[in-house]
Amino acid sequence: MIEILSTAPLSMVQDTGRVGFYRDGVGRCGAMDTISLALGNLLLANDRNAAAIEVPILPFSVRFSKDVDIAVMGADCATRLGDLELPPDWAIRAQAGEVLTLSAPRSGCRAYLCVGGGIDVPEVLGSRSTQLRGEFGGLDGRMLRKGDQLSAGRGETRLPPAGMGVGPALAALPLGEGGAVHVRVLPASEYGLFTVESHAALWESDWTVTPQSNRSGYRLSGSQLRMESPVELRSHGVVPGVIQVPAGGAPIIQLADAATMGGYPKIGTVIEADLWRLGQARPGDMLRFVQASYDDSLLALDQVETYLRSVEAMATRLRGAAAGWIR
Amino acid sequence: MFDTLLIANRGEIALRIQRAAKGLGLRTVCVYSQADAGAPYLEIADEAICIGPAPARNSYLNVDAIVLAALQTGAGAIHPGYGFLSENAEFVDTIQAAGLTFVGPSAKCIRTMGDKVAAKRAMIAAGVPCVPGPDSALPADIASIKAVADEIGYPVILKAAGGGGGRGMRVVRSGDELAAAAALTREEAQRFFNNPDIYIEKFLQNPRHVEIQVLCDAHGTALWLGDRDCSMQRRHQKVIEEAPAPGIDRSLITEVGERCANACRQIGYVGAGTFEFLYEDGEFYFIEMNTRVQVEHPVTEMVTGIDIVTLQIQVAMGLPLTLSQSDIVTHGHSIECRINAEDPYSFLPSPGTVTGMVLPAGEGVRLDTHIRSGYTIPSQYDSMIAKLIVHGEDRQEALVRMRAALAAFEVQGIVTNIALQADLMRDGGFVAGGVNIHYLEHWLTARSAQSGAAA
Amino acid sequence: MITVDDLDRMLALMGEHGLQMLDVREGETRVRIVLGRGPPEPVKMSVKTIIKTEAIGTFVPTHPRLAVPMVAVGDKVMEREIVGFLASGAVLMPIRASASGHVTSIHARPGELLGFGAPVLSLA
Repeated sequence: MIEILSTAPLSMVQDTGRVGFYRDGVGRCGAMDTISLALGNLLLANDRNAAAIEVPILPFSVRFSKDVDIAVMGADCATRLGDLELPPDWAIRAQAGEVLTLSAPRSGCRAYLCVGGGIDVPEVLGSRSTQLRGEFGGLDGRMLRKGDQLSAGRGETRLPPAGMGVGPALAALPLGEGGAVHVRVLPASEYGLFTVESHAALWESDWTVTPQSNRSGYRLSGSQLRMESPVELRSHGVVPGVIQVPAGGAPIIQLADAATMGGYPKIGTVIEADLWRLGQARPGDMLRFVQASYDDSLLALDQVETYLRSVEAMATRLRGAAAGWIR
Repeated sequence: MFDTLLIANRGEIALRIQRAAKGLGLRTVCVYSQADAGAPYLEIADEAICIGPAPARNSYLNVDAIVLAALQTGAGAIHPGYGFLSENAEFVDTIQAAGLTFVGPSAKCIRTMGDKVAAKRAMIAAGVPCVPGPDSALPADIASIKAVADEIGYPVILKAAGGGGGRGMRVVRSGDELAAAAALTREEAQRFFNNPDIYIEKFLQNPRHVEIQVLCDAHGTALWLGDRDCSMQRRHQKVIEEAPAPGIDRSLITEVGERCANACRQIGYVGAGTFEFLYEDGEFYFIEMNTRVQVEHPVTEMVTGIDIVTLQIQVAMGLPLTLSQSDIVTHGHSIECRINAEDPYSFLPSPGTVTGMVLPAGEGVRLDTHIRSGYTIPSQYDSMIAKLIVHGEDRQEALVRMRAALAAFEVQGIVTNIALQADLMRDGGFVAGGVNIHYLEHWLTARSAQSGAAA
Repeated sequence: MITVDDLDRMLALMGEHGLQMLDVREGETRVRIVLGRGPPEPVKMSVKTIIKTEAIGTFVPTHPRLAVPMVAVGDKVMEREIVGFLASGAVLMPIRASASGHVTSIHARPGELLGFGAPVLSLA
């Protein structure tokens, strides 16, 4: 069992999300940083989709009542397991009674606590992700709070005795230079209705993530994006990544918990392969949009897949070698 | 194509493979266990990396550690040598999944030949002569087993489908022993080879062990490189090997050799391999195929002039064999004595430090060894420290040369079987040629009886 | 190499056999244990531990997401602490301190390919 000793609001159980229920008005949800989730699961020899605890606000601490494989991924928050300091993005066997503490992050925004076999909560509509709006999924459809007890899907270990870790995904999937978070964007259907100046501003200016940002979407500040003339749109489907521009001209990127419908004009869409980069952007961080083609977007997905497979193959090999060294 | 070869083995074969690789201009990477740190053959490697603790299961049998070492050192191919992982199909799968080349046949061929029932079926299909008995695993009910045994005629031998190398077999001399023997063999088969299937064959009383060396490329060329006689065995371990096998009709060998090459074409075999046969009363009976280079490959190299290990690597590079069957001519006779660090009477291993060595030399003498003065033989592995190989115009000359070479060969600081080999080279039966696979065991029993009587 | 465990064992053996003094040499290391209240001879206690790899990989002293190496000469490390990494592709295996002590020297070079059991650093 995993007992939550302390947590700020908004920690919750997430997997890669709920796919296939848009027509019923059920959005995707799922981890904001799907790469961190996938890497944690790969280190633990879990299903890539296994559920973890997403922790957006630190500190956070849990106690393990049984031995369990864990991986702490994503935000680089000083992490301690008992009296042992853990490096970033690290998987290790926690012993019964040990306390895991995640402190304020030095970089990044969301930490993920993955466990052997995944967090064992019931699947709802094909996913264990918490759907706050609908109050289902995860642990009783709600955020975690002090005293909650969760269990891991697997008790036995699949880790080398001293654990193992993974280097930063950004090093393997670099994009852009400088301090800003770069994401690739496909022009969306109303792109052509925006002014030339707005087009230039979209691609060339720095955008700042404002405090009005959460799992539903990030409101950005920077330039004002204007249309040649106002349009009235019927409500239409909205997917994570869509950049809407309300009348005020400040764009909003729709994210994991976005509503499935919306009526604002869309200037672009952050490509699927880059959404995880936004998952680690926090208020005050700079964003840059890089124009991409449809083919670029597909290629980017392939690159992510190739990267994850190479990590999986190497982790499997090291797991096998380590088992061989002590057999 | 690759430019760096990793050698996943130790001892003399690690040196032998390196020589071949360097001759082809390849970089070599040697992996070693903590017990082999400082071994002389590591010095000539372009890179050497420790892959784990001394026990073979932690190091030389650690598939993932070896593949990891290959990836880390930029090796494009892995040569398994003999023993260890050389006939492990999962090893081949893991190597190929990592995008690397295995110097040897496909995992599928290894699996087929590793399952003795499947291997026999493939051989029958290719026209290779097999020991009388069905080409399928035995059914569970004893009445059916009895019927099969009666048809073959006693004595019969029960064998584990997953076995090999003399392990997992039991001779049955009459029908009333059959039920108990089948149950026991089946249980052992499950326990030792993780496959409860057993099969039944006619038990040959006094066969010789004669084998055919093959070499095949990835372009459909399959050659057989002559035969070897390895009947001098102790506890299924070969002690002396020679080529060609003395006193067997050459036209019969040719016929069997052609069938072996044909079998290779049929199963898509690539690389070096050996078809092992029992030979009795002028007939060959297939027992198993070794899907790797063998310890005794040098005797074939000596009589054919073909560098088997070099060609094995070239074939793995995808190069076609430029030889044709008519180019393969055997010349003279070759004998190999395995030199082991063991007591020549008790056969207890004698690990320790070699304090001095006098090496045999001379016309037609070849010594494949990884040891030198100051080398400490680890206790964890096989006790073979050298292979002494001679070549002569005929068997008589080879024997003379081997006697002289053994007399000159000294390894100080440890106990070896050199003196035993010298005795065997003068033994009337061996000198006459054509002894069977029980000969050496009987010889050793007689010797201990004699020394017991003398004492 | 003499570890703290070895010292424990030596002390236990001394107790078992009623020994007052024990002087052990192993390679470069010498340990002398004198029991009782009398003034001990001035022997410099220098227990040296060499931290070795328990895997294969490229030596990475600094985690790619952190600014400083896991340890530097002079640092105190605790048993179990992660003192560096062995990289294989993107995956990192830990190098763990097998004992506590102060880092006296670092033997491995960043980027060097280390085999199993290779010395990484010394503690005293």
